[in-house]
Amino acid sequence: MALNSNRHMEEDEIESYSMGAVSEEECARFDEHLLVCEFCRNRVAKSDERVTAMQGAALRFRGRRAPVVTRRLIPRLIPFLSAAGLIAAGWVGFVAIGGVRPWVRGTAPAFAIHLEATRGAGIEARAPAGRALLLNLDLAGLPAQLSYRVETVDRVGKVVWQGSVPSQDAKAAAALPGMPAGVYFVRVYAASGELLREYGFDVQG
Amino acid sequence: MNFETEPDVGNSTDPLDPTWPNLVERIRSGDPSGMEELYQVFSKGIRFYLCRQLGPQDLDDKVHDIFLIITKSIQNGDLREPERLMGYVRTIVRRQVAAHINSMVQARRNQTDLDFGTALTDYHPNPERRIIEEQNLKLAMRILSSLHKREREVLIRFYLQEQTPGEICRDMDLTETQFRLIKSRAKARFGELGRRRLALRVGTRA
Repeated sequence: MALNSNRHMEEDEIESYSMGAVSEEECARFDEHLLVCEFCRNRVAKSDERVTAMQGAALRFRGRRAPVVTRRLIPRLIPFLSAAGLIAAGWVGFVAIGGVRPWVRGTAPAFAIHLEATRGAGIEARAPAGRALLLNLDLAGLPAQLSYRVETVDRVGKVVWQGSVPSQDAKAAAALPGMPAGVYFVRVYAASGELLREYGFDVQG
Repeated sequence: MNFETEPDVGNSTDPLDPTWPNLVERIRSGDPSGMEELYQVFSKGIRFYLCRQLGPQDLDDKVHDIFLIITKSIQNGDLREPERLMGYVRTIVRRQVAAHINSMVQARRNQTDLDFGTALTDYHPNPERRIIEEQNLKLAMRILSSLHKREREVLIRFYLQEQTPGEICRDMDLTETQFRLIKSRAKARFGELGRRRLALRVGTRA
């Protein structure tokens, strides 16, 4: 059925559009309609405000319930992460001088990767396979939002992880489970569903 | 053609608006009234789209640049189906947004390579906007706090985990009506608290 760009958007459609949860075909129709309809633009603007606020509030509630990395949690974790870093460094040194064999992979702390490279650049970020990952995303230059939708896909575009991550001061962190060796891409989306940025990293076996 | 004042969803205009070809023809022939009308019809919409995608910085310049691109492109005869003007404008705007993001990425990479430090446009909202966003967040927190745990879980799954209504209903053993009711109540409450806040602000100013 042909989609009519000249009919006003329904309430549910407005909310889905705000959340970026519309198909490419619907998105095209809504974009076209919004180009010429102030009435629906105002409704989308209000919906954007409400959705952003609800997502922000939901994030805080989720942060209270489960130990996920949120903007409030990150500062609190700094002393623990620093201590863990020191212990890890000491352990690496101990192993390097021939102390003992390292433990089996999978019990190790999350491997942190700082992602700055974007599409077009060579993939420089590397991580070990099978190890939980902490992706630190540099979001400088993107429109400020309380949170972004992040998707991780493998080389053939299959989604291996997705979720919303809170941002603060143009930075965000996403905790991912361990993955098999291969090249992966992290995509950052706006609330509207528009792809804003893409990073690559190489998980090595 | 302009149905900005037409809030009746039922009375929509024909999608193949017969005035689009007429407008396109006037632009092609260099008629200033055509360009004026094009600007009147699309400038606010383009502005809205750019603001959502790229933030509020330099909007006037960006709208102006895109308007010039659209006009030139139409005059060059690139628009082959004049009745699809809306789709054509959308395509150009999307391409410009993508090009802008790419150029920002490239500039940032070059600056980093040359160790100039990063000089990026400030995309953060202005102080007034920031205050409104903080107030909205407080409203949403208030709404979520006031809900029963199970209802709150529904909203968290929908807004944060982006589960579909079908998934939520299945996982939480809800009917579609129950789901819609929870969501519409929260929406109505948000609107009501927002209106109260606005009235309070107006009252304080008066």
